[in-house]
Amino acid sequence: MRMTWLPKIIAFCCNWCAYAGADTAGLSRFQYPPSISILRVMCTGRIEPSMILKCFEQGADGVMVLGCHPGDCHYISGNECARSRIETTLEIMEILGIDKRRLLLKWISASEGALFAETAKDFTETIRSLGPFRGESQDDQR
Amino acid sequence: MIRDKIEEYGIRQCIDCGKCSWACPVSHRQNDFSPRTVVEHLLLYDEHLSSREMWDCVTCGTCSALCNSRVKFHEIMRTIRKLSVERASPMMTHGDTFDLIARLSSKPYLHPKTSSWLTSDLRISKNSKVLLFVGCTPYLNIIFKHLNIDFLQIPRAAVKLLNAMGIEPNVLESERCCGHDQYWLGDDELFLQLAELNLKAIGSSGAEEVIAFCPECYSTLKFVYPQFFGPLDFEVKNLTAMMGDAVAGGILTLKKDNTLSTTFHDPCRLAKHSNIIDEPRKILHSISNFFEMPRSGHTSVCCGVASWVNCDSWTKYWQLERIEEARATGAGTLVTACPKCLAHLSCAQYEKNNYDESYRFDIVDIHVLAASRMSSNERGKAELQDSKREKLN
Ligand code: SF4
Ligand code: SF4
Ligand code: SF4
Repeated sequence: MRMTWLPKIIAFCCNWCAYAGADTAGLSRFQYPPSISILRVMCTGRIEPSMILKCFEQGADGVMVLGCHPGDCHYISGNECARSRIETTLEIMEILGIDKRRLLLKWISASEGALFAETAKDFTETIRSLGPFRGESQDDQR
Repeated sequence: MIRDKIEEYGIRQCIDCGKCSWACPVSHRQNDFSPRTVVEHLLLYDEHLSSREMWDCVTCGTCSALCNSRVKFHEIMRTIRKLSVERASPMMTHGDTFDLIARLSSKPYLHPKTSSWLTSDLRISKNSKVLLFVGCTPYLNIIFKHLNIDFLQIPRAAVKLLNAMGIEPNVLESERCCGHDQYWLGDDELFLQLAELNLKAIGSSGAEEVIAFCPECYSTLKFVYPQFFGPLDFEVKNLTAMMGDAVAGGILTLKKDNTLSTTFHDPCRLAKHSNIIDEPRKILHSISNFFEMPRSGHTSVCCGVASWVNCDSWTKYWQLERIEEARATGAGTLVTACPKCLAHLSCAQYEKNNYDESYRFDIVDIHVLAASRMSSNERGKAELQDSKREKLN
């Protein structure tokens, strides 16, 4: 059963790097699982803890935040903001009892189509091994 | 419908005196909001309030505390919200984070880890009949990191104070939000989910007494839970009130620091909803030189934000005004007894400090302050027991 279960994963991608990276993955015909729903934001710095919590509240099994490599942010330091906000979100998730592996922050540039596909595949596998968010029991958590 | 509630909350007894509007902190700032006018409106016209009117009120209860005709105005405000939730939703601050935390903590399949702040020097006992309810303070510690306040000191101080009073409390491993915000936002459905999970957890802990240091948790457990679930199997107590009594009764000795001068900001949920006014003052008199602000007790003003609704430039203005009022008493430290008051007042100060040095002023929690003034005797006792335990181990 587990193998056929398709997790629901939300990927917040910044317009300038990760979203273009996803485009590159598509153009180069790299395969990645259909579990990923992409939400484009202008910059990862726009993402607030509440946006990620909302995904879980609405039943997402995992959330990815994908942005430009440090130093490459279109808005200079938006990805640095994202890093600190993701940290805050992870701390909140820890107290709430949501497995921290369900949230991933990663830097993917516009040319890294292969990395995008690989990240999507790996993260889907991680979430598969964790099981559905709603079925999480206390023991599964770290 | 709201018409039916008019009798219940005593709206018909209004004698149009205007005391409520005189005292209402929102009316002080916004000429177009007045509880008296809302009461008139409800009596004369219909039940529809504008969404501004509905959400401007901070449900502080000042109006109801002062009304000689016993009009329960803040309760009617809540009922209007409840019946109109579909029609208009409030503007929440912090992008809804706190509402989402409450929503997620109401999920039975999650098990929040709300006791991770415990340290080894705190004496707790799993078999204790006394339970310390912590509330959302651990979340505040994460979200308000930039304020540089260690919010976790508050539950830690609470345990230390209880230990000094001879109590080793139990702490729930997995606690949900108490539901205060949801109740006052009129979201009964979520409130009930949270309350049911908490009552189940408290029930299985075997507690006969639940102590809350947060006035919101206290007033919610004490007054709101019984409205929905009938008399509870346990007694609900407020730590500030317990401390005040313990100091007056000589059970808890705190050392006075003559160089310390304080003033007290009454949290709405403590002073007006729960009528706990003298106790914090007893504590502060015993440890410091105490100065009273002009607006105190039943006429004190709200810290500006309740249930994370309506934080705006008005709010900031009245928070800064409050800080100035505190400074004008000559006191060096502003003390409060609610973790959220501490967050909101410190937040205004934080933003202002970027521009204006004159708002640098100590704002501290009463439990943390009191714990730091425990007489060496108490601390000695605690340390003695610690060393005994170490020897045993
Ligand atoms: S204080 Fe009471 S009686 Fe006076 S106007 Fe307000 S609601 Fe009416
Ligand atoms: S509850 Fe407070 S804010 Fe609301 S009307 Fe009464 S005094 Fe004003
Ligand atoms: S006063 Fe500060 S802490 Fe309080 S709601 Fe407003 S922004 Fe948040």
